[in-house]
Amino acid sequence: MGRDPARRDRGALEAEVLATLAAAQRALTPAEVLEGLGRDLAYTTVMTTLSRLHTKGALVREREGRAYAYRLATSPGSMSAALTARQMRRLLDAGDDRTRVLARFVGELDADEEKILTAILAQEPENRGDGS
Amino acid sequence: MTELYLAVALTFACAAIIGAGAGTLTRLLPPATAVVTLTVGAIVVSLSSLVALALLAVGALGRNASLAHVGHWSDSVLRTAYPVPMTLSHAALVAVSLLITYAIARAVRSIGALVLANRAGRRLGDGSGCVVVIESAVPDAYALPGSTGRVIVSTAMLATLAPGERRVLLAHERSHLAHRHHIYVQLADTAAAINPLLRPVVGAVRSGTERWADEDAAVEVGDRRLAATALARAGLARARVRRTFLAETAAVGAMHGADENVADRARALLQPPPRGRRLLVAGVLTLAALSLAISAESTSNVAARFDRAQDSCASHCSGW
Repeated sequence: MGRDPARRDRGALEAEVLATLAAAQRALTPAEVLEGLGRDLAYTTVMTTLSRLHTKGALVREREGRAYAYRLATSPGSMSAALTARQMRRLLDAGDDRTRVLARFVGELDADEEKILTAILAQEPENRGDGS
Repeated sequence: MTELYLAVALTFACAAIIGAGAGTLTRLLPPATAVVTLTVGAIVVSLSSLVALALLAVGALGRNASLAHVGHWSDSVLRTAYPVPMTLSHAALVAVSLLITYAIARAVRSIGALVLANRAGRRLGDGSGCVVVIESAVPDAYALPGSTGRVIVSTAMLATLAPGERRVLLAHERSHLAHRHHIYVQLADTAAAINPLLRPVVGAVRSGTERWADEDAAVEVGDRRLAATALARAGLARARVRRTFLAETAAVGAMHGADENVADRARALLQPPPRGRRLLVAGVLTLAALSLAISAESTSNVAARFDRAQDSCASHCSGW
């Protein structure tokens, strides 16, 4: 809100890069990050974003052959993340259904909803990325 | 005097209509339009109905002899100018006090939760940007509003989704933060506390903000189908984990209302985006304007009666 679009896009891309690295749970080369982003981007854009995040201290890098591989600076299981998780839980438990301030991506499903969602996924041509 | 009763009846009728139509409105209108219209309508109508009720209660205060003394009006003249039965007036006074107390209590709780969220968001530091990853086997993601808005997402959720679907998730949560969706929900909640007939608006606004964020995410990735599969995959993964670790997720599941129907949201994304319907928006805003006009008219009417009682007090009240 009220920020220029270029800066917002940059923030969005940084978030996507962090999410990609967190999902992989290992160090990734820029090429692998580009693949994990799942959208059309120039290699140099990914490189720039990775080095910016590295400068900020959000990523650490290690040499892998001729390129660098990047991973998250703090592992998700670290002390501060565990603390955050506890705080979040407290926040979630504190508010009742009507006053809670957190907007969750998906809630719980009942049996009917499960059937509908399964049908939607079954229509997919390539059933990718199913983590079960 | 009947216009005072009529004002209460009409403003409450407006609230009842908006409450009853809220769910349909969020389904038919583009979600952003529905959320804004319903929130504005609910706030205006709730305040108007409170004023209409308060005008009945004013009678009980107006004929209190010591208040009349302080306010320089004649309580005997007011008795004839404002012939609302005292029992009714007292009942209205009790109702207004209870509703105001309840609304303030809820608003204070909302603000408390926002302060807690804001503090939690600040404590996460700014090194990690707006995304905070939590190590957890439960697929989960939510937006944490505040001065530094955060997207909290668990490792299990990220691992469940395909690359493009992760973009959908992040764009969805970012939309919540950018458009301050929590404010609409809290405002609707306060309006419903003031007038309980507006209670269905809260659920409608809440699910409307979810649909709003879904539509924003679909635009950002340029693929409605991808947005739908992201929802489906996340929802199913969550259901699977819930069955496996029922004990662990019991606390997480406990706080879910039926407001957010994931299947409905996914299906809406497989349809073309809803078009604006000016007539529906105009309908809600007309009801809001109507109740505002009614309560304003009643207020000036009651003020005129007090003026008359004050005038006659100036001519024959003793002891001033």
